[in-house]
Amino acid sequence: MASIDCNGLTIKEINRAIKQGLSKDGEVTLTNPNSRHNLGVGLDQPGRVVFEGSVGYYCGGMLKQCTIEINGNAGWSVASDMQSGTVVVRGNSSACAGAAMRGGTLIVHGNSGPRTGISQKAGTIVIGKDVDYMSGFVMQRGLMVVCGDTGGAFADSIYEGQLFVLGATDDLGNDAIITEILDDDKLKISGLLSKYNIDGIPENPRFKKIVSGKKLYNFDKSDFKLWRVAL
Amino acid sequence: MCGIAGFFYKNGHNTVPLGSRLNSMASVLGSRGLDGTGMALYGDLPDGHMALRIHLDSSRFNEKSESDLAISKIATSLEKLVSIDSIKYTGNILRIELKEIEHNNDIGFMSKVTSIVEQSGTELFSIGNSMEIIKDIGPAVELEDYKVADFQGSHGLTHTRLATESRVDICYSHPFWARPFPDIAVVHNGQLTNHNKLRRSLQRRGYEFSTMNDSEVIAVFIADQLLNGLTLEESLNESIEQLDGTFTYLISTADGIGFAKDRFSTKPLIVAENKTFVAMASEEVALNSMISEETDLYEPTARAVQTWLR
Repeated sequence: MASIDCNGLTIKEINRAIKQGLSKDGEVTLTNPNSRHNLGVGLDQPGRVVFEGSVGYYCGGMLKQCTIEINGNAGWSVASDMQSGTVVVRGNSSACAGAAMRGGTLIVHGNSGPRTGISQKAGTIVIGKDVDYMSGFVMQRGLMVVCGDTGGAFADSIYEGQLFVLGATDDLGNDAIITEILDDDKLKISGLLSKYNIDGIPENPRFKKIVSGKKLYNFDKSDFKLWRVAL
Repeated sequence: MCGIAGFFYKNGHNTVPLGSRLNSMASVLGSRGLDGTGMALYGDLPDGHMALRIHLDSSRFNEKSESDLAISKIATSLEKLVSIDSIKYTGNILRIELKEIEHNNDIGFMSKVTSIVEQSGTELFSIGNSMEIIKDIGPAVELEDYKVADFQGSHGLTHTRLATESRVDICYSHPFWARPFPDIAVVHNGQLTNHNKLRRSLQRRGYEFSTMNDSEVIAVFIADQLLNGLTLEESLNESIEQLDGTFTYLISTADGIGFAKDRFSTKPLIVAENKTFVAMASEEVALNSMISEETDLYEPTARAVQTWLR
């Protein structure tokens, strides 16, 4: 297994070393990532990358195939535009985690910041604790599971996709509705939670299922009530 | 973009100088903006003393004889009102320490001192019973002349600026002092959209501003709320309702430090806290640069407000 000490290396040198390590050993461990930005961006090969510490912005961006584990926190836009593969954050993630994901799985064991999963197009996001303001905004497809509370305007203006929340959903966004959760949904969620060892989940958790009300599909501009909530 | 950071020693002092903590964070946050860097530092002045930090524009006072004349004019005018303990001129910033001040929170007195200083064509960066503002254009290294890294103090703020809303000018660098209130300063990341309206409303009530910058309005707005009897936390909550636009800002007073985040959580902030101190910065990498101790790290949410007071 390749081991890289990030101290003293530029981001380009680190990312090049990750790719070389994955090609050679299939597994790379990085020490002292020190919350620096743009680590592990644009990886497109199978294998496992482990960051022993926190990473900064855009870690795992545009990821394909490989698994990234972050034993710390992640800054803005972790796993943004991910195509496939898996990103696991053991701590918290900041704003726009999993933004515009097209596939793959993002797991955050702690809290996640505002606009988590914004414009999600496919794939799976699991947040172990809370999400902040406007998470799930304009989701187009995919799955999001939040095991804590949601912030303001959760799941605003979603098209398709499914969101499951165990905690508070006091402020749902426009056109987000709570619907009946099916046995298949429960199985899917419990499978994810046990596969990724998400802590603090009670027995028989009562997740709420949130989907699009689809009223915004055909926006009637003469309906002034809609304008009031849309703005 | 801008980088902001703050630091607060819970018991008021430590062997690691406050200035070195802030300087480390400012150096790292240079990646978020290199148009200006500044610090508001809270030190330990003797009772009855106040520090003034005054900027002498090098294009206006480019000859030593010109700056000497301006300094002597300021000193002569001030001595009619107060006693001067010391005068020190480093870089472009003049430091005057006053002594035997009886009314150290009298706003009328502060306004008088401000107008005396600025009559000579200089800009007053700060008045404080403990606070001193040092700022410049360019990165953190520009503050080396002022030996900020050696500054011993209890708490402070720092800022690295990417100019978006107003020009690149030393007076537009942060922190902004809440003129004429002593010891109140703000650093801001974001852009206000209603700052002209708020400024005009505060001007109608007699407040003066040194710039047209949006962030200076926050400082005066909060100071005005405090004057009206609100606590710092209440003032910060009020600002979330009254300020329109994007912001995460840090505020400091003689007693402590606090932050407020806008309703959309647009701008970042990470807080690190342990038994000894509270530190906060736009990015975790800035906190890492100066923390070797065990700390709890968290990211405040939309509309979050928190204060730490001594």
